[in-house]
Amino acid sequence: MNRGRFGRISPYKIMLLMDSEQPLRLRYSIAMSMLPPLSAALSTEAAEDIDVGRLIHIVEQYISVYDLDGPKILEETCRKHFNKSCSELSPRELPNIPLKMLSDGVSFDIVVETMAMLYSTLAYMLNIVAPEEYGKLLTRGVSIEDIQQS
Amino acid sequence: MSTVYRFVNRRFFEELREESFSSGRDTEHRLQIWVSKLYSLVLDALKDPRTKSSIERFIQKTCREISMATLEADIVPEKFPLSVDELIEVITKAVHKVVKEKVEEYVNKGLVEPTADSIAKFAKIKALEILGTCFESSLIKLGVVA
Repeated sequence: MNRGRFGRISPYKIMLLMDSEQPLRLRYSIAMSMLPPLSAALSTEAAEDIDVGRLIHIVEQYISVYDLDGPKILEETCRKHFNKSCSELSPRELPNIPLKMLSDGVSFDIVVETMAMLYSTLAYMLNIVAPEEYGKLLTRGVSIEDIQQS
Repeated sequence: MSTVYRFVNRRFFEELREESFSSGRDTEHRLQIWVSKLYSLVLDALKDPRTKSSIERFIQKTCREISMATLEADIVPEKFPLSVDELIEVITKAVHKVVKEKVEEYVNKGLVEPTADSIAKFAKIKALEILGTCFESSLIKLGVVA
């Protein structure tokens, strides 16, 4: 399938988003910048390939290491806002979970960790991470400013 | 074009401490200067209405951990969300209460004189230390935009 017409996400963005040493507000702004390409890719048939149950399981496993209450908060958010379990959501609804957690006032660290794992895994599952960008890192290096602007 | 945020590094917080601690007339005043500077940065981090309540919750969680480690007392509620100003009030009142309860222990350790003034001053310093450490730790994790 030709996915070239979707915006691609730089792997450096994902690298920084997953880096727990980076400031939470930087990781948040990176996660938010990933929403347009994710939404575009999720509005096509590419979204049909997403195994939502598996993805939610991955996110739950990850945030349970960070905060024991994380999976419970995730599930409560889906029940409250979508009236169903997270694993029953359609792929298009998935990026909204952390946004709902944010508006509910869930602790910012848990929101950012959820965004990090959910958005980066979705990007890989949708095949919109630009592999050619890795070459740039090897040849000239990339600054945080480059990543935020891309 | 996306907005580019430049974040300060950890040295910024060391300099902020040094700067505050070199200008006050006594410990209490120095701590007040430090906490006030950190409080302004906290308010700045709360400017975005989309993230405000979530960041406040994170600061509350951090203050809860720090006060538990410092005072060995559970003084910050876990479930009930507090604004930063409410948090300051809760911590200040609770620290005074805990210090009064543990006054004998502090007197025996030579940390405080058994007088009302000395106990009140000690509690005020303790509350400022907890608030400062909590704000500093929260801001380091959140990131301060230069």
